[in-house]
Amino acid sequence: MTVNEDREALAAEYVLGTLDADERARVELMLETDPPFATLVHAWEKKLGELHNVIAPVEPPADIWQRIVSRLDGASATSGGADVIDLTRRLRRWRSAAVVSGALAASLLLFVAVKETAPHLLPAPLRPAERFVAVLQEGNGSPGFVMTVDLKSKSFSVRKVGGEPPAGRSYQMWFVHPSFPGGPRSLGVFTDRVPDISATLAQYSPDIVNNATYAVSIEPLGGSPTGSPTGPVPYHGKLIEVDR
Amino acid sequence: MSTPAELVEWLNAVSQGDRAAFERLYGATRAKLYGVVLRILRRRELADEVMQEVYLKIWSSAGQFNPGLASPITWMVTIARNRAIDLVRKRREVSIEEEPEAMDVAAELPNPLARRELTEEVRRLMACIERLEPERQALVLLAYRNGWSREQLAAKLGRPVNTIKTWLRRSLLEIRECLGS
Repeated sequence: MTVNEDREALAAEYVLGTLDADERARVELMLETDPPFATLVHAWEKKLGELHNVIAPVEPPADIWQRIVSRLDGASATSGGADVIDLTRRLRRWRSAAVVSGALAASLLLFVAVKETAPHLLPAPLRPAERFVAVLQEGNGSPGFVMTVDLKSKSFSVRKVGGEPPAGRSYQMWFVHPSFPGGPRSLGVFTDRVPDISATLAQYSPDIVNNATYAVSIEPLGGSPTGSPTGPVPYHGKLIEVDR
Repeated sequence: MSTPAELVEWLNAVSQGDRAAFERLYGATRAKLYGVVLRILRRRELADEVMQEVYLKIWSSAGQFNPGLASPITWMVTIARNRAIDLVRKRREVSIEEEPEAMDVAAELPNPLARRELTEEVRRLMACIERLEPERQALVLLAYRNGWSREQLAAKLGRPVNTIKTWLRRSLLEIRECLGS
């Protein structure tokens, strides 16, 4: 099978639903970071999507609607991990909606000018964020690694909060951004010490650092022999702002 | 049954935070989505929980629905299947044979494959699946309906996992060729 057929089959099997948990996590990472692959997946969703017609409808219990509504009402009051991430996403969407709104354009221009030239003049919530954190977690939400970034001091660190890799294997950390032509780039291998991710990340612009996806794969002892992830990628996550 | 145009309209309203449209959307799609997740999860308490998560996700991401990529019901079913499959993959202790009584409920409903009610797109897809060898037809349909992994399919069909993997790949690529022609 060619590489293209491998990607095609991976996309198709993801949509059909036959991949195992690690493979699904890998696909979900690729969906965020590999637009041509995401297009393949969407094409398969369209091809196979109509299969839902072969499944008999079943009336759900009557109380489910009420439970959905009360969770909607409670969503703004809770602060569970998934909710925070969801809200952060929504916040980003609102912000980008504001950016394209013509009515706001003039004041935004001024805001951008001040932000670029004299950020200390802005009230705290409008200053560019400087501290970020990413929790690299498994698909089921179990955290494996916590990464912190302080853009001001250019300090980047990661620590392991989850379990050990399987015997004879090493964790290796990666980051990937849509602008990387060759896919994920290594941030180092976890040995008896954590890798110094600052050495690599300090060379990248804040825009790339902030918008990259971070991930940890399971590799042969000592790290991937190929320079790209070769094993399962159980942990991944993105940075969110922490100081607003 | 609601028309796709109505579903698109409701999804659009939901993306603006319209609760009434959300309730209509729920009413029109709940049995379809519950059938999908119950089939995969096989346990009502899991299906009930996933249903809530799925509709909360639909509520928060309705603005991302793109009618150019999928029909509204396909988009919603995709969210539901992904959530249900992610959950069963994490819960390996849920065995294939567990909780048969949930399945009986589904089995009592009328055969959803009454051909004349199907859209042109489904008929084409089913025609392509029927061109596969019988065992592979069963493989694709079992995988879709039950959300089974290759390992589960291998156990169910009494074949090695590698054989299942090869069959799945070939079958899917043949379906693609057939649909493309």
